[in-house]
Amino acid sequence: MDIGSADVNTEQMPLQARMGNAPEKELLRRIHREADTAAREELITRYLPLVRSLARRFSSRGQPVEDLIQVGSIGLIKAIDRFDIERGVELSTYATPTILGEIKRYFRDKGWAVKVPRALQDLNIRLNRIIEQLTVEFNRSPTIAELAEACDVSEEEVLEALESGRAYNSLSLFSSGSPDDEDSLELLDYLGREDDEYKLVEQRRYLAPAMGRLDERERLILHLRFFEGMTQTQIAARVGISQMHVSRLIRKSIEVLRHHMVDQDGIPPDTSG
Amino acid sequence: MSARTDTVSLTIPRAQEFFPLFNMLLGGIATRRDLSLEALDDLQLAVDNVILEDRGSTDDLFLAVTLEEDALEIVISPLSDPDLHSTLVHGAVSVDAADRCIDVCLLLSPLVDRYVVRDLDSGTFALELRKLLR
Repeated sequence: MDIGSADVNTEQMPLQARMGNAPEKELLRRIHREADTAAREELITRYLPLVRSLARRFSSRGQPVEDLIQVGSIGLIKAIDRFDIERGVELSTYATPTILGEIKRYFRDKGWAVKVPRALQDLNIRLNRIIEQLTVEFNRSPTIAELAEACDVSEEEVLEALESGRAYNSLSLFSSGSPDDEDSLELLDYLGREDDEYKLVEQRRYLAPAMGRLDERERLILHLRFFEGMTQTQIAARVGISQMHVSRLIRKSIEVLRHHMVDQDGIPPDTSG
Repeated sequence: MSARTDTVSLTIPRAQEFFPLFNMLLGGIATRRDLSLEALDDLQLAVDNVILEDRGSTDDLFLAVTLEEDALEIVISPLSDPDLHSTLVHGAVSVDAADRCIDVCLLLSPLVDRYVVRDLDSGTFALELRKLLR
């Protein structure tokens, strides 16, 4: 990935060196009032350690840190360009969430947390469709053998594809909703009727402080699964999504809650051992 | 004569990149016992959550699955987190840990049919999960 050669002009280094001691506010003033590219480059250089520090916080999530630094640099440049010097806040305060946002967006767009062979990705996509079809056809959750037969692959390949699918799903931690939320509008109406019921979840001691991190549907699904004891298939029928989608949302929700409890600022802890 | 039981076990380094190997083992067992995808997902979710709630230890993780005629018995060890131990023994998160622990008992209840904590001589403990094959 290339963040753009226009952003780092090595020919300007002597000028940058002369600006090395300039106060940050002076640099910002030159950038925004005089379109001073040298001042912009100086500020980028000064803030690169912040980008590196933030990027390293995601080092356990399967992407090269150098890529994350480059992505974070884009966030830094956006922050510098958009910064309003009249607002009275420090650039670091403004830049940090912008850099983090850019890194998180990269993970979302990248999709797969670990390198998964294309064939397995394709099989995972096929499985999602077939699981839904067979669940309807059998009126129960299918077995691995049934899935293997339907996909004309081995049982081991089915297991591997399902497991690798979680490599994608683990990243949805950062998204505001599920990647396949095409049914979310219809659900809003449904959830409105369930308001009193699913709010019971929050009244229990179970994770009360963290439940606010989840959206309404996620809270409802956790309630139905862990308080009402409904199966994933039953929840899927009731909420109107697939069993696999229910499974994904349960995992995502628990992961969000766990991360919230472990690290209040929402940055995933390094569990790579 | 008692019915034959087989046990399959796996030891992995305690690092997230290896955790999916437990899921693959459970998947292999589920395939051989014709468990539904949903039942497999329950088992995997149960094991995942127990492991992730056992914080602080660096010991290798051991998973053993015993195939009985009508059930699967899963043992996870060694576990050492005192909050996890307390939660599992008392059936709920203690008040002073409520802001840092997920109520694993609540999660396990619909996922498995029974769970038992076994204290080990090393000061650690094992968790036995039992899932009936219906």
